[in-house]
Amino acid sequence: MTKINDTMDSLQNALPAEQINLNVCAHDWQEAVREAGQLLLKTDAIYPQYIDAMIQTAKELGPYIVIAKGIAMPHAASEAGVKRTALSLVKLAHPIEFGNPDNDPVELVIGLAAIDGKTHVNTMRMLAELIIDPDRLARLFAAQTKEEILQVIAQ
Amino acid sequence: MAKKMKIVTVCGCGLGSSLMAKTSIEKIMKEFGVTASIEASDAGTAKGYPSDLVVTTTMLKPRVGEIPGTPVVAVKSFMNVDELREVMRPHVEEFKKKNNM
Repeated sequence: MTKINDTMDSLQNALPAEQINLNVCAHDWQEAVREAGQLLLKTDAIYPQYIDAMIQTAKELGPYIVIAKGIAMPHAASEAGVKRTALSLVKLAHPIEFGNPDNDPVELVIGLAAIDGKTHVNTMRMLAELIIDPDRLARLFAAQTKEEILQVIAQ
Repeated sequence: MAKKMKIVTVCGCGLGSSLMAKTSIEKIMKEFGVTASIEASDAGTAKGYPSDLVVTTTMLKPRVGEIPGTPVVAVKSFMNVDELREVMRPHVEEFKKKNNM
C-alpha cells in the first residue's frame, strides 16, 4: 500500500490535464485564487470550504503566497478541507498584482491541497526543480496549451 | 563524520514553499560542501526547533520574529538560488569555521 502511494507522489500525478486551465480571466488576486481552487474542487480533491481557507490564509499571512517571480501558490492547512493531495495550475490571461512587491505581477497560480505534511514531499521537490531551472520555467511561462504544460512537467 | 548543519525553512503552513525550499537549499549546501538536515516548518512552530539557521521569506520574517541563539535570514523567493546562496553564505561559513571544516 505504501509503495503505491510512494509512486503517486509525483508532479505528473498531482497535476493531470483536468487540473490545468489556460487563458483564465481574473480581475483580482482573490478571483485568481478561486480559479485555482475551482479546479481542485471540480476534480474532487477538496471540499468547497478549502477555497475560502486559501483566501483566508493569504489574507492572514500576507501575499507571501507569491513564491517566485510571477508565480503564486495559494494553499491552506490540511484540516481546512483537503480530500486528497493535488495541485492545480491556472495561467492567467492578464497578470495580476497580489501585493507582493518582490514577485508581482502573477501570471501562474498553482493551487495546492496537501492531505498532510509528508505525502507530497516528492511532488514539491519536482515542482521546485522545475521552477529553479530557467529553461523549463521559461517554457512553462510561454506555454499556450495544456499539452505544452504537461510536456514541461513530464521532462 | 562531519557535523550536519541543521536548517529550518519556514513558510505559512509548512506545506508548500518551505518544502520546495529544501530542494534549492540542498543544491546550495552541496556547493558549499556541507551536509545539512533540512526541516520544513510553519512560522509558529519554527521557534520550537533547535537549529543552526532558519530561512524564511521577507514577507513572513516578522511572523517568525527573533529566535534566541539562532540566526533568522529571509529571501524574496525560496526559488531564487542565487539570492539564497548569498543570504546563507556568511552563516554557512561561520558554521564551517566553528566546526573546523
